Amino acid sequence: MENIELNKYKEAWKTESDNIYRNKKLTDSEIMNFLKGKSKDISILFKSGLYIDIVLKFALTIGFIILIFFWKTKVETACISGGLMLISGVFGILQLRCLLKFPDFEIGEKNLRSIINSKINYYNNHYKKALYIGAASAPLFFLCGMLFYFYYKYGEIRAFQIDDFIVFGSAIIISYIIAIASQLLQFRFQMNQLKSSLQEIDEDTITELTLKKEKNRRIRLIIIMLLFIVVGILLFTYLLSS
Amino acid sequence: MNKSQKETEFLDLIKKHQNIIHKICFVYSNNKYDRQDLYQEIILQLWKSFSSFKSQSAFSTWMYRVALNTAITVRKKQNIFVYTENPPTGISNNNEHFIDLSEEIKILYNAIGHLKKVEKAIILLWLEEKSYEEIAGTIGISIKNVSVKLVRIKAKLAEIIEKLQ
Repeated sequence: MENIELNKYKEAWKTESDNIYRNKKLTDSEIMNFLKGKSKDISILFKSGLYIDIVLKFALTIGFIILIFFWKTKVETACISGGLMLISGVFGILQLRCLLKFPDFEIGEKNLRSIINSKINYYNNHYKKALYIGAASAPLFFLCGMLFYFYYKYGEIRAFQIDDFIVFGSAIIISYIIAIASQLLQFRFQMNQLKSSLQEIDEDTITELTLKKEKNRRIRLIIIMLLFIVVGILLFTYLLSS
Repeated sequence: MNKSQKETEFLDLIKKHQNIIHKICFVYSNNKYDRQDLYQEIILQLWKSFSSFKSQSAFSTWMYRVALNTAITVRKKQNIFVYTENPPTGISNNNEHFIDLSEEIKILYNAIGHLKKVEKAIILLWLEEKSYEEIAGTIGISIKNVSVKLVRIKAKLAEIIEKLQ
């Protein structure tokens, strides 16, 4: 019943679907404009995010190197700047590694399942780490700015009270949380979209596997039954003959 | 082949098979802005992947693969403020380009709009009379799985059509 009904619509599709767009033909210039446009593909956005963060991390590294020179007479502050410089540099290198591992998803060669799988794998195994590292830019900028401010304003870092630690500590933590929260929200949305598509692809695979298992179980049962019958007949013949 | 020759060949092929892009864009977008973005994304991805196209396979099959992969995986927008109770396709009575269409095709497009993303892809390929092998190759599932899925999706589509009639 359903198929008879659908065949009517399939017929309509066959006869009409190509004519629907007769008024919407794309011209050479329209296609060329599309080609000149910028991709809104999320992987391109993720990639651009990585590029920007690598530049930021290296800018921070340079900033902290400058601070080491500024504070060279104050060993403690120079050491703090050195530590932060190392953190920024290492984070920059890690982001660069993540960028270099960015795969070409080969959208024209692979099937849908492989593309979704490779995207999920890359985003989960590499890009997620990059998000946490990327969010560190905000507190690092805050610290860098703070050290510059102290240098120009006071020429030293005054002894911190417990309140100062709470205020500055909170500012660093809050800036990190804000930076990571917005990025994680977007990331999770994208991942959920991909995972739901993958789940959709796999939905009937389970049914198919169950059907296959059921079929194998039936075959096994038939073989066992046949064996029993054969053994039974043999036993019966033996008993009759004896 | 130099760049301009490649570009000319690409443009010719796109123009020849552009109905595929139209169909996918209308099925996978709810409004003209989304549709415009999707047109652009699909054409960009087709151009980017053009060198991977091997003339052994039909261009239309390859185009379907790229366009569907793009529509399902590439473009994701988090619309927090947009709520659509009925997820219609771009085909509606309000659209001046589609006034003279039969009721069947309008209902069919609207019904497809209510399916999930992968279901839309499979039903589109089925409507385009692609073989089970081609559908399996595009989605990445077994031929048996295609037939299982198609039975379920067709039943679902028939149910939606019944409600829309």
